[in-house]
Amino acid sequence: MLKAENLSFQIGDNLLIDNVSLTLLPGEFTMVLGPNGAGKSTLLKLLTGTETPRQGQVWYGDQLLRSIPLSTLARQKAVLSQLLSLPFDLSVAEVVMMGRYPYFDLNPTSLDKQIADDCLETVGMFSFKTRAFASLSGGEKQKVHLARVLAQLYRQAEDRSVKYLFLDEPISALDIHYQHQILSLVRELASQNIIVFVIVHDINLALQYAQKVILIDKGRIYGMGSANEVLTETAIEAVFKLRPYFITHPETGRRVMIC
Amino acid sequence: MKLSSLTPGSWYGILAILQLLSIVAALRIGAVDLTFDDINHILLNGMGLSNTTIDPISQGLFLQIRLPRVLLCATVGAGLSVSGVLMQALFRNPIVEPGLVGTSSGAALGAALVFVLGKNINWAFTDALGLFLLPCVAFTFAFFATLLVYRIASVSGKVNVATMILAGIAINALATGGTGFLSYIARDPQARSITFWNLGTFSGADWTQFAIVFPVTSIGVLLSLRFTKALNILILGEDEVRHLGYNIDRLKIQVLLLNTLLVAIGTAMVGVISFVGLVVPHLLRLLKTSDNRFLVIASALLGGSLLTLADTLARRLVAPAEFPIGVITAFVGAPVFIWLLIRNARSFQKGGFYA
Repeated sequence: MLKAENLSFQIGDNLLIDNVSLTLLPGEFTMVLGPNGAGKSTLLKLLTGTETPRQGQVWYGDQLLRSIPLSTLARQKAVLSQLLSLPFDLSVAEVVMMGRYPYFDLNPTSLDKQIADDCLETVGMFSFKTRAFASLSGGEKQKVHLARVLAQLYRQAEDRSVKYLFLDEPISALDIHYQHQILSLVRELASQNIIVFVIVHDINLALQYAQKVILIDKGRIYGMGSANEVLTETAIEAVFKLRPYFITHPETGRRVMIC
Repeated sequence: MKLSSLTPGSWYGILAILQLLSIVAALRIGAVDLTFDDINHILLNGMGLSNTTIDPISQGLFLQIRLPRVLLCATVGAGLSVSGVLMQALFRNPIVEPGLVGTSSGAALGAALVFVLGKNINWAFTDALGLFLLPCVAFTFAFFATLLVYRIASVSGKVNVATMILAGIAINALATGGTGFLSYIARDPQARSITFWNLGTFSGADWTQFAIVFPVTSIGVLLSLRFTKALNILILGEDEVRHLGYNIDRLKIQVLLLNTLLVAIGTAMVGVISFVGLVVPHLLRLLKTSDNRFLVIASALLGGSLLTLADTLARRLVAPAEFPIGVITAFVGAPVFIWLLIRNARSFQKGGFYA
């Protein structure tokens, strides 16, 4: 279980996160939505320990996040941030192998190599293994980074511990085929005792995949709960300043938003 | 040629053979050329395995002058090159080298201070440090110069390359000014040793220097290997280093300290040798890899070989006099650096430094 109590964070006089409390449970696919600059990425940074909150505390299970050694944390928690370009070129295999760094000392074991290959296979990038990372398209890079965090959280058969996966817009550069493939994959991961916290922009994807939605506006939680409870007409209009219309999906009966 | 066509292991093999060959060549060639027979006999005699009569002058030359010099050269070359790899990884920039970020000129200032003032003022610790005074002072100055450049460059939270290069220029100017002032107030022999020292020379190499530099450099290179995983992750970004289990702030300070140790210990003994730390990692990056594990080991071997060969040239070209080795590395290194710049500018158009 991940618990955050009364988190606040500010830079200068700018209050980016204002008294946010939340609880995330394993097996629950949580999606975070909100307008640009609402504080989604900042909240993710506070929950992952990248930034230290001005006030409040973050608990991973019954341990304070601050008190967990970074090397231990690296085997429990993986983060996929919005990445910029790399100053040096690496091969795809080298990038994915970084996900295994917390597990070996100087040289990867054959198991580490096997896991890296499996994870590349999972995201459909195995045939790119020896390619230069810089030569990939934006979407391909995103998939390789996803393979890297999958490798980091790869669970051995006897491992029953809770894991934490944070993704900051993991599908922004993917075509619709891969958007759905990756989100299905992440949903399946969530069911394996992993706490999944994903920032997305697409409200329809949230309606389709999320088990829990956190809607953030101006550094505060506007609504938190199931997708249908939180993503209402009034909430979307209040937060995104845009009047939505909902129709019903002809086959699944799911709500679909159009503008 | 791609790294993938040969395993890192075979590259280590090739570079180790190159290192051995360059050492053997350097041992033979010089103001007095020695034959393999001579070297063989001297070595066997030295180990007490045979008792051939040899020219005592050759023997003295080989054991007391040439052997320590060549070994020191290989060690310093390795230290400078590994330091180049560390700096490029830490600054996340492929054109950084110890000379550019103040390390070398800081060490030079520290050493000049010892040359000129060391004998005149009676620091409490002068006697206690003894032989280690020069390396210690050079290290302290080198560290603070590098730290200052790093701090200025990262004032906005992440390292800004343009600021870093400008800060490097400023700190270099300051340190060079200090060194210049010291040579101005120095007496003649002191000024001469500062000048020579600024161009680098192995002519003073002896077993004592080797005994200090070799263990420190070896430990430094081995320690560097411990940081290679974290430095690899740093290619992705600072936050990623943290997410994969390393403390980024501690990493920066540790790498900076290690780098300064590697540069200052060599620089304190043989002076400023430019371009080695820049060019050697770059030559290896041509193999299309940025894996710091490979770069550290391979740079140590290649850097040692190249500096040994450069020193052989320095000894042979105008024998029996000799060139300062810094002149040779600059003559060879600067054109290579310019070629790299042009190559980088071209590959930028293709979307990446090594794309």
